[in-house]
Amino acid sequence: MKKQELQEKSDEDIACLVQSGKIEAFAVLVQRYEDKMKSYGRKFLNIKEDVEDIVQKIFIKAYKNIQSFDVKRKFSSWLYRIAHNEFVNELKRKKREKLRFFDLDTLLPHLLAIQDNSNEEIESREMKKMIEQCLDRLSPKYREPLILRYFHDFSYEEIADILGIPASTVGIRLKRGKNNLKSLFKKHYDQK
Amino acid sequence: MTRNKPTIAEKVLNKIKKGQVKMWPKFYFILKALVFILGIVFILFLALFLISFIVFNLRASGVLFLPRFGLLGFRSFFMFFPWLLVIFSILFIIALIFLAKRYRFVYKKPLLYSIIAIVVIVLVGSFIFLRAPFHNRLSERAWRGRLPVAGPLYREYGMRRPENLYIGKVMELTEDGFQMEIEDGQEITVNINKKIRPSFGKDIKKDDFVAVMGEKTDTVIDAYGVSKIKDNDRGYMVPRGRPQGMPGQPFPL
Repeated sequence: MKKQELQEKSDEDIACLVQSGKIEAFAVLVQRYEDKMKSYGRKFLNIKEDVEDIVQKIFIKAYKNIQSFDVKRKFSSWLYRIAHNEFVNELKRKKREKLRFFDLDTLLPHLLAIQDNSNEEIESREMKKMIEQCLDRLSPKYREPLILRYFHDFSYEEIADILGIPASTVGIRLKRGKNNLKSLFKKHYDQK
Repeated sequence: MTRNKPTIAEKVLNKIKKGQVKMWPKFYFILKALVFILGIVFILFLALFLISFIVFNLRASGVLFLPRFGLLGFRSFFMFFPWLLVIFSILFIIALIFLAKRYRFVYKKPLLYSIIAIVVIVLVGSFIFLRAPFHNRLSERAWRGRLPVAGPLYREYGMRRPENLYIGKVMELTEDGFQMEIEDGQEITVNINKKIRPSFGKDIKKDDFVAVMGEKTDTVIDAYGVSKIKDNDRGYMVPRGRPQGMPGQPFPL
C-alpha cells in the first residue's frame, strides 16, 4: 500500500492494518501522534527537556499491545491512555509531584457532567494562555484534564476514558482547574 | 554532509524490524482477560465464603446470641467476634473494587456506585451461601477430619465459644428454671436469676433449644440470661470443644 493511501486512512483503519501484520503502517500512526505526545508529555510532566525517550516507550508499548485495541473505539483515546500511564509512572519515578493513589473526586457522584461548549473558541484561547503561564503551579490532577481539553481537544467522555475516571469527575476537575488557573493567573499579573 | 537524526517513527520501526519489539498475539490478550475474570470470580468466591462463614460461625459458636444478654453479652460478643475474618473480607472487597475498576463500565461510574454494587453482590451471595447447606456440610466434614484446607478454620472458630455460654435442649421446666441437656449429653439444672433479668426465660417450653448465659457449678447453672434459639439457627450448632476428627453429627440436628 502506498504511503499516500495510508495517509488518507483513519487511525482505526491503520491500526487494523497493523493488527493484520502490516507493520509499516504503524510508522504513519507514530508520525501522526509524535508531536502531540511530546507536547502532552512536556506539559503534563511540566518539563522543558526532551521527552523523546518516554514518547518512544509509549509507541513501543502501543505496538506491543495493538492486538488489544478494539477498532470500534477511538485510537487516539487508547494511545493517550497508554501515554497517561507512562507519564504518571514517570512522575512517580521522579517524585517530582505528589500523586494520590485515591481521589475523593472519583468516589462521589457529581451533577456537573454536562460539557460546556459555549464561547469555546475564545475560552480555549484564554485557557491555553493561562495554562502556559501557570502550568508549574497547577497540580497534576487539574493540569492533565485541562491539557487534554484545551490543547488536544478531547471531549469529557474521551478524557474520562484516558484517565479512567467518570466523566462527571472530569467536569469537576476542569471546573476546579479553571478556577485555580484564573486565580493563579490573576496573582501572576498582580505581582507584575 | 550531515545525516539527519532519525525520527521516533524510524527508531520504532527499526526496533520492530530487528525483532527487538514484538507484538503480543491476540490470544495473549484473550488469555489475560480470562485470567483476570477468573481472578475476580475467585476473589468474589473467597469474599462470599468468608462473609457467610462469619455469620455461620457466629451462629455455630453461639456468639450471635450474646447481645441478647445485655451489656455483659455485648462485651463477650465483641471479644469473640471474628474481627480478623472481617478484616480479610474487607480486603477481598477492596481487591474486587480495584480489579473491577479496569472495566469501562466500572470506572465510568462514580466509585461509590461500584462499592455499593460489590457490597450488595457479596451480601446477597453470602445470604444465598448461608441458605444452602454448604457450611453445614463443610463443618461436618471438618469435625470428622475430612476437610484438609478449610478444616482448621471450621474447628478453630467453631470452638471459640465464651466459657459462660451454654446451648442445649429444655428437658423439663422447674420452679426456678428448667432442666437442660447440653451438647455433651450432660443434664444440668438451670436456675434463672429473675432479680437480674426478670423478663428472661418467661416463654421457655419443653423441647425448646436455648442459649443460656451464666455461671456453672457442677450440674447447676445460675443463669443471668436465657434465649430461645430459632429452628433455622439450630442446624448450625456444633458442640463446644469437640476434639479434632471425632465422628458424629453436629449438635443438635
